[in-house]
Amino acid sequence: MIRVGQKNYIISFGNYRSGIIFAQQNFDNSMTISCGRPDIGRLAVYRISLKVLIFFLLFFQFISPAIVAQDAAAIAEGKALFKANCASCHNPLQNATGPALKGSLARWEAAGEYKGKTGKQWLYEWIRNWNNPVKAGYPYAVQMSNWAASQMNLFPAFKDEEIEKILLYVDNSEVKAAGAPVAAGQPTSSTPENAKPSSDAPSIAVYLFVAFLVILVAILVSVTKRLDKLVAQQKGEAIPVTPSVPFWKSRKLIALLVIIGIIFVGYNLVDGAIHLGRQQGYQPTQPIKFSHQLHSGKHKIECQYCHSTAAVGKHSNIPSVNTCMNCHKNIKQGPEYGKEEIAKIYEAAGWDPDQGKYVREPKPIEWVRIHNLPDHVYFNHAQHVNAGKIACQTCHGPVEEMKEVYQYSPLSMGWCVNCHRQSEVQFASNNYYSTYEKIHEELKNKKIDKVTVERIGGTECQKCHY
Amino acid sequence: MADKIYWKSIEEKDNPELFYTNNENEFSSGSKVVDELVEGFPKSGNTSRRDFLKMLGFSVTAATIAASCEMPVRKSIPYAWKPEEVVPGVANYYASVFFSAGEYNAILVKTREGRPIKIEGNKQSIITKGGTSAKAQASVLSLYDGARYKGPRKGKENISWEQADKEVKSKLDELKQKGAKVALFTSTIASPSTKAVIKDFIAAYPNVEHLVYDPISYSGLLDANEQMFGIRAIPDYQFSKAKVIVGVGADYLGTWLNHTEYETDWAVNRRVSKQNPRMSKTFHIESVPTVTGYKADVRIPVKPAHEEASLIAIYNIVAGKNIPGGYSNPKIEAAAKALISAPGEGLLVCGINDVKVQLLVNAINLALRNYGNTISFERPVYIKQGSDAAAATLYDGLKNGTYKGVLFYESNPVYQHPRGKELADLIANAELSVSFANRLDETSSVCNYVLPDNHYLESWNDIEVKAGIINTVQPTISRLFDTRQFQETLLTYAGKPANYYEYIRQYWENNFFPKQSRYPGFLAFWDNTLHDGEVVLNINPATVSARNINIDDVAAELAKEISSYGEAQVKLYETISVGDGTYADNPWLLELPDPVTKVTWGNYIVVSPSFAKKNDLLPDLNSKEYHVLKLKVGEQEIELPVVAVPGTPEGTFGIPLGFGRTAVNHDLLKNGKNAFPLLKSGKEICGNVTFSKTGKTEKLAITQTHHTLTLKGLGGVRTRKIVKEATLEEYIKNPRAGNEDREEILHELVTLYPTHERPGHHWTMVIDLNTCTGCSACVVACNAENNIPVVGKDQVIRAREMHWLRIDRYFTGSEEDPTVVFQPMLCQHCDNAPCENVCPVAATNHSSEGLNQMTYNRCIGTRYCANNCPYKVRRFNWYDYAGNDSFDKKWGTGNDEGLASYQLGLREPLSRMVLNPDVTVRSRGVIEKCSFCVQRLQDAKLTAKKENRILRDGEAQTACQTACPTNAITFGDRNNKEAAVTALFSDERAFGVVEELHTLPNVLYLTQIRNTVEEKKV
Repeated sequence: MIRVGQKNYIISFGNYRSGIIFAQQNFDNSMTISCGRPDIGRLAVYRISLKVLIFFLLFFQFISPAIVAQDAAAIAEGKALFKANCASCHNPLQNATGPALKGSLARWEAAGEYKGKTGKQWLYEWIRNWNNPVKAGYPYAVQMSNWAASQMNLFPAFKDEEIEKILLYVDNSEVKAAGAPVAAGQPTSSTPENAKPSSDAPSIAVYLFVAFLVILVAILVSVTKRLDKLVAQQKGEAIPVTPSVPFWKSRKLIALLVIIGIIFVGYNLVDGAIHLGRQQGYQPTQPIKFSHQLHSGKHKIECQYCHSTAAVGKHSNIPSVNTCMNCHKNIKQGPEYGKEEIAKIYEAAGWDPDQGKYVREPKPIEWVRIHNLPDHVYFNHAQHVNAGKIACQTCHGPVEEMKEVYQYSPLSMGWCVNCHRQSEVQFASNNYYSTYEKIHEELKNKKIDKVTVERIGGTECQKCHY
Repeated sequence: MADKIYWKSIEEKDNPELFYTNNENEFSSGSKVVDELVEGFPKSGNTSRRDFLKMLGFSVTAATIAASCEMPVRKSIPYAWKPEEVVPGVANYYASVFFSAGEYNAILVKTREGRPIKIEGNKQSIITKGGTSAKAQASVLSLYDGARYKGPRKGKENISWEQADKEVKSKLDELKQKGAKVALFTSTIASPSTKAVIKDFIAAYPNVEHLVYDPISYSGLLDANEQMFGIRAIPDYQFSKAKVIVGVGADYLGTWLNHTEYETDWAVNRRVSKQNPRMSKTFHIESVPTVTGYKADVRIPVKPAHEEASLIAIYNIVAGKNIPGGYSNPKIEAAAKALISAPGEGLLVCGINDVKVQLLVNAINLALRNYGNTISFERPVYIKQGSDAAAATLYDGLKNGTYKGVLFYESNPVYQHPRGKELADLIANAELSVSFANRLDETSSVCNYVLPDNHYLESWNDIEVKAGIINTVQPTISRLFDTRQFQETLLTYAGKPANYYEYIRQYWENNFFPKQSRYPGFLAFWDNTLHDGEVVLNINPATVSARNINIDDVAAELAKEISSYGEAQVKLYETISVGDGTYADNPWLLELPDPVTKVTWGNYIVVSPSFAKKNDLLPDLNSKEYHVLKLKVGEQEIELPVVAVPGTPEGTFGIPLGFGRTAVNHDLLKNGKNAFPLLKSGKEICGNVTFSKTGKTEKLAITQTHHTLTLKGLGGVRTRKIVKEATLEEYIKNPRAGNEDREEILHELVTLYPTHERPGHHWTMVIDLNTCTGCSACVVACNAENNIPVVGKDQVIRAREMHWLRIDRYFTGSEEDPTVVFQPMLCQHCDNAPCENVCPVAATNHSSEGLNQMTYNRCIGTRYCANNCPYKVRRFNWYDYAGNDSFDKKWGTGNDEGLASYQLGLREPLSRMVLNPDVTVRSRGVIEKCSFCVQRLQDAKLTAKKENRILRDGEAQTACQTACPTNAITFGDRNNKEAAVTALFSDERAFGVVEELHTLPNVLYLTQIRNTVEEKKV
């Protein structure tokens, strides 16, 4: 609900501004005309349009969701603390190395008082040093200490308010997790069959808004006409008699509708054609339910530990199964799917976990490719990762939060070029660029304040097409 | 000098106005586009409204279907177990050596994701020094040849190795017991380890005899050296030490012996500069024009008989004798005098395969004290070891039943033997016949068994082409098919462990490791040698002394033989592209225009222009119909179309060998006629020739008149300057000689356009016309690097060859004795490019690094750019030659099936493995052209960025540049003051082609300098 609201909010905000411009234009038009003939009718129109404007402002104020500021800052701090200290073992929503934490405060409180301390106090103690409540014999703590064989780390330095914030974050984490990637398009589905590229088509609210504006203009026009008539009557001028044609048969209306129709169809056709072959949000089902959220997000494994060639080669490799086996020789069970998914790695590697050795020829895992560039595009990972020092997430999105990876960016040429226009090159730190003497001069003379990729030719055709 | 008139063909010379009018239209020559396009429609001739509606309906439906399709699910399959050295997208290079069909190149093999895609020269080699030949460049395509044997065969039937081994071995045993002889027939084997394997094999089967035969034979030279010096080897010719070089029918810059080495050495003394205004002086006596002749300072055209006779004349002058039967003219005398004037610094080489001739040549060189100076036996050369007698031995032995069995390794006598046809029957009737060929050829198709060898890029081997200098061959890809190395097969039969890798290592440890002092341990020695690809061992220099031979008698005998030749002779010769025919099934080489005749896809008879005119044999250039002539030599007859080549003397009929293969993968590869049956007794010159006109004509795919730069300037015909040259004398006086007008031209140029900004690099190329030999290695290298499609004979006839780089050649002077300039022509990357202004969609535009960039996906195929390009370097894809758009293949409109690339399997997954993954494969309907190998530039820049340093000069190299054996091409960043190219760009010799158009080309040429004394007087 809130997610939808947020999205609407973002979109409506843009239109809200253009709405003002629209209204302003109406307003200006009336003003211009009224400058010549300052009479009552015109003033009335002025008043009406002003009212409309106010109504319109109020309307949008009304539908915009109120920002819930309460605790937002605390949750954010809690999140940071959680990521820094807890996330390597805990997930708020799922059992991992440690148990799922959401609702833990309620559970501890429900466990009741013991030795004069409330459940909440015992929980705080547990978090700082779990040994204390266990030694004290608090039953719930004893129960929890048997949850897993592994032992929890000690955090004696945590202050009460910090723990409070962490718990606040943990209890609110469901909302966060579900509403994660909204900025550049939401994955629309999770199966390859219906994973058609999502377009940025305007939502119904926009159409409604446009319709509203059209009606508004129509009302204003008719009101003006009537007022003109009234004014003319008052002045005793002759009223021009026009043959009455029902408005739906009026040539102007038909012409208008046709033009609108052409613009509408044309826009959608071109827009649709541009999006052909793009797969933003593409999230196919992979042969192994590999979770980047777990590996990269929770366990903080460096991207380039597995995708090791990203810094040296054109391609960022999908790790071969021997990379997986580096860890999974020992880690035989996952937090979510248990042994099932890891067994697929063993199958591919030809590893027998019981004997603890390789028994068959390895065979490659056939992953479904998500990021597809057309053949006539040359993209080099090393150029971006190594020379450009671009973070993986810039293009691939918050992979560390993705349970299943989807295509975060549109991978369209416009998207590439935009980034090349805005991103700075490592001009000062990489000696290669000392060749660009002229630009160094310009920097020195403060003619320019930064060197973008575009400045050194990064938007030319043959930087990517050859 | 300024009034020199250049021409590209005889037709242009005779009637320039008509010629230019005919060639004005870029896309018209020999092609009726519209007719061809409607071929697929009902034969009414024109496109009817119905057809139009059909097409419209089809297109709309197809577009709808294509648009509504979901994106395909693409798999991304990583290595199961990633090899440590492979990084996807990063090329690995492995040192190896190309030794095949009598050519030797030390190379680096570029592999991507484990597949070889390109051959580069090995710059560490002290023999070829990084130079390559066209054949070496093209050899990577033969790895992915559809004609390769996929496994052992018995007759036409596929069998397993177990069965093959069992049957062949039992047959060998049976023959051994019977005491019946078996011939192991090979071409030259330069591998010491392979020789050891053969020795082991012969030890196990003493009834086996090893016969060595080279189809392009140097038997005469070897035998002469044996007689004179007691060593059957080729001496080490040191062209870099020679001040005067006289060649007699020896194409040492194109095909003769170890020509890649000779090219690199020759260039040393041809690179002139103000600091070093010295040059060697080259004379060339030849009948059929070759690149060596055209490059010579003084070319002396004589008919084939006089090639030999001129040697007698030179001998007379040098030795002060007076043996009759010599042929001389003032130029030959000048050559002889030049040799005498430089004792110990001259070099006389001769390509005629005749002991008498070679003895004469040795005697002259001996008299001039060239041995020990420019000719050395310190490290004899083993590139050719064959004997003409071996060919006769095999034929006779099979005929009279001495040989009951025969094994063929790297030899194809059914095609290359003068009596090949008879041999085919004899082989088929032998009790055992085995071929180790790796792909289909004439001999293997008549053998009982085919036990396919690996391709050399899949093999282990070693090559010793010069005594003590050994190259390693290592596999660069795992075996594509069920093949086994020849050596392992022999080892199997010899009862030894069939592991040739271990065998070589053992052999090296025993024989080569003790002969070096650099590495203390064998492992280090082996690993480093493998890495470098070449090792120089300490050897005891061979000492030779000349024996006393009565040369006068030899010369007299030769004179007698010459006198029996009659008026006209046939000269059989090798071309740069297909050589001895081993690679005549390689589409890249077949489509490579011969630098001299400009013919692709087939052979012909080279005659003199005057002969052609006298007998009305000049072709119709527009229809490309050439008159067919019938030649009769002894009982042999051959019918081929006639090509008149300027500089060919009358009485000469030149016929290229190596064509007319029959056992090839496709009919399109059967081009021309086999001239080997004429090569009786291995000698290239055949006397007593009679000719008759047949009245027939045949189409030749000749690119002579394609893409002609019109010499017609604003001031009328032939006012444009395309090539510039001067003599050395003039150059010493004035370094601007021949190029005097450039300053004036540059001065007159004004522009309204703003100049482009070049904040970083400014890529520039300078080509030295003086050292460019026209050898065309660059053209094939460009093909391989840039995924340039093969279009086939039919398309070449329509002037649709796709080469981004071509070698233009310009004649000046008379038809009988012209001087020639070769000029590599590629996109000039003009700073004021005429093509850029006319593109309606800005598909071609300018980069901030000075590149004229072509964006295929933006191109809509108007071809305005090609029309507006004064250099004619833009190529249009009339078809989907590479087959990347499978739509054609599935829904083929009929036209495409006639395409060579389609028929030759060049669109099949196997041959597409040769494609460079960094370069887009173009589809139909777009223009393409030279990109200055932008993928290499980007790669070099990225390497510098990754290593946090500036880009060094010479790091970014184009494919043509690296392929060039003479380093005629210099490439670099003109913004870098220290770069070699920056200095050359402002050299006095530098000029741009048709600069007066104010195109501001980024490719400049250095004037050709000839070491001649006032040409007119000679």
